[in-house]
Amino acid sequence: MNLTKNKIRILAFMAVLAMFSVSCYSAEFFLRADTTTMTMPDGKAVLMWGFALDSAFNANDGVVTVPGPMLTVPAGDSNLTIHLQNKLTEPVSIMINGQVTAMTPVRNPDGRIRSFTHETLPGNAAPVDYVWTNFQPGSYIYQSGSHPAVQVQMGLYGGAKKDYAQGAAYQGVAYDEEATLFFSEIDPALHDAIQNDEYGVGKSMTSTMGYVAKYFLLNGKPYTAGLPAIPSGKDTQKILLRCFNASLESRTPILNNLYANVVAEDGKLYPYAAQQYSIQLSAGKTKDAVITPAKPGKYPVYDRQMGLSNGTAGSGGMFNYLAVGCLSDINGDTNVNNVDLAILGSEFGRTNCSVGDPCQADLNGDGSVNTADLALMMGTWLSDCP
Amino acid sequence: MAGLLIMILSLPAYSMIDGISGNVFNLEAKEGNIYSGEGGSHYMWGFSDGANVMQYPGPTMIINQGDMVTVNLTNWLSVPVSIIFPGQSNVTAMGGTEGLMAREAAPNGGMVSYMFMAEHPGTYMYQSGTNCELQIEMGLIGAIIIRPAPMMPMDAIGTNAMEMPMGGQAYDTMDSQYEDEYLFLLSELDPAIHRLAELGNFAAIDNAKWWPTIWFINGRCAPDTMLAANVPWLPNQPYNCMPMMHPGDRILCRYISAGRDLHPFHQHGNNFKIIARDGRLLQSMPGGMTADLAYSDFTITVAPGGTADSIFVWTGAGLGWDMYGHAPGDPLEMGEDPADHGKPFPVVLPQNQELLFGGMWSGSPFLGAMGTLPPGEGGMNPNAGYTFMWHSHNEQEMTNDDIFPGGLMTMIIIEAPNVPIMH
Repeated sequence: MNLTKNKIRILAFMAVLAMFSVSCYSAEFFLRADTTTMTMPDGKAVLMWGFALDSAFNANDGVVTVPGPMLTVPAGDSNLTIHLQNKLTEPVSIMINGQVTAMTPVRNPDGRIRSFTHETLPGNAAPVDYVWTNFQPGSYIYQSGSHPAVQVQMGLYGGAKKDYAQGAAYQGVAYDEEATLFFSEIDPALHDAIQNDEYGVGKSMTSTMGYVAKYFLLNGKPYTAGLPAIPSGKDTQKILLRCFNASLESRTPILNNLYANVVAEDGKLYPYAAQQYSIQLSAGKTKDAVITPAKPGKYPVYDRQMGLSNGTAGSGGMFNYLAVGCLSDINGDTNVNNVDLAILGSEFGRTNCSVGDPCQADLNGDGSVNTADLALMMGTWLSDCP
Repeated sequence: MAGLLIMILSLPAYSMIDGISGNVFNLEAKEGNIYSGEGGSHYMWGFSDGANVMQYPGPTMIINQGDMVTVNLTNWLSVPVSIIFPGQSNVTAMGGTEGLMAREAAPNGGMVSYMFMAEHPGTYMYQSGTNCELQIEMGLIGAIIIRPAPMMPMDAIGTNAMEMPMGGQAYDTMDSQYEDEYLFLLSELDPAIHRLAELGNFAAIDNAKWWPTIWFINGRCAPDTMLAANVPWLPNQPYNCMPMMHPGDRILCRYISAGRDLHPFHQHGNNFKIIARDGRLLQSMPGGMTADLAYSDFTITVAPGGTADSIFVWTGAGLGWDMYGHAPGDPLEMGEDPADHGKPFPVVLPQNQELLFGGMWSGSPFLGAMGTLPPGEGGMNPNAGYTFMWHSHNEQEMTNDDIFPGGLMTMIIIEAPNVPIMH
């Protein structure tokens, strides 16, 4: 049986995973809601609330990020448990739109719902658990379910994902590599008000109705010159783009010089893929798309709804490049050249590539190094690889 | 057979949407002013066809599939400008300097040439790829139509001889054939940004605090959408949007969402069938014989920067009466739905003294028929067609600076079979 390179990689990964997964749940996370400060390109320091991934409750060894850490539920695992610690000043919780679990809303004395599910109080001494026992494959956004008008804006959101099977996002949607496009926004007015204790009843800011986003984040950062591109597999590979929009506004990423097969929305597989270069994302939406770039290169991706400004620091915002590397750059020197050809030549004719005895030059992963691999290399000959 | 083939291939490509055809386009980025429906004047940046005046939107480039296209950009603005072509692959560029998304033409006369192969037929757009959040708002946008090769004139489907040679085909499938095609390039404008740009006060422009109050189809606000193309008093807004059709005609609507906002475009009269999005047919198998995933709808919201195509047909089916006033034994009109043939008009019309009139009312409920009107009434519907409003269903977008009606709105006229369609 022939094994693709991808399968070989996954099997190796699974073997490593198996060694470590004997004594613990595979999808169990210790999250801490805490504060951090992000500095915008124009110098504005913004107080954020975010999640950190700790090694244990109260270990405090994770770093608070916005968006929060990507939570990966392994294929085949139906259970996700999040142990939450709250170091903020108001109760928080975690919900995942699109994933079903029993939720127990918390109400204010007047009957209005304050939290979609049970709360974790500030300074909790023991972890409060959020549990899903029937976690479905797909891409999802987790966020605070408490006081969401404030807490989601403040940064309490992140991505959660699960593959349908190893190397397949959904049934029939195989992929080689994946990249994340996570869109979110900041209106610094709210963050300043929270920081200065000016938000709430009787204070200078009483609601979030005047929301106007000013900073526009792609994968947690507004674009500035020199920001690393988003690693997005290699040419001819199937590259899964997991798109998340935690913004309060719609966002529409456009893939320049590329088409994507949009395969799923809100974690649900479409009956047929939609071939598009625009991927419209309503607030809270996730979509999954597969690109198969014929050529390596840096492909611009940008929000066409114009979240492209960096406050007073000019253009930037929700912009970056998908860095599609070269499948044939075997030695990784960012060029497809004689060195790579020599490696291919040295392995040419092998028909027994396997996990234990892999071939560097089996570019198409069919278990052999032959003219098909040579043709792939010639297709990007002398290409520069991002 | 060979003779027939030659005849087919030698028919001129039928271009109903106004634009410039070919495979070499010379666009110049320059400034100018446009008018909004309430009388406002707005400072714009836009593309021109060569030395002509700047226009909004830029010239519609009509290209044949398979052509190697060259777009030469000369930039007369005070800032660098580039062009990107969403939906086109392997775009190469010569000249200028490297920008974030494309090579840029320097201010005050800089030049860049872009080249790409028009690989797939369909509806596309082009736009500035430089400082997009400002330059697209300022007007550096335009439409691209790529016609499938070879251009196949269609058989007469519910049409009449006055329009021959007729229509065309949008994609590689027969179900994308049409008699008439219309462009709906939707956009919007925040006058405050344009005022600051005219003053050169770019530092005061906050693109995050954008608040549009003017909305356009093909660069015009209603009611100007319904004027003829190229009217001399709108020199920078040459394109109109005045769809007209006969009952039974298939019309192709090409939608381009060229602004930054979502515009739910709503069509009265009948549902349409969405056949393509972003220049790709809706198909379960790309390359199939039909757009088998096409779907019926009455409102379409195209993603900003994206495109869509629909086929719209109107026959009067389901009216419950014969809109031609036929007797049961009369022959069918071209495009008539036979189910209501010969059915009488179901109500007694009120007398004129009991009516209020609009400019569109011909005095008769029958298609193409005139009735008696009091002096000074009617007159905006000379062929006694049926009119339906097509508009943004974000109702606020049917205004010009807060004045209703206007904005992202036009009317379609269903004309009687014997009325020539004026384009």
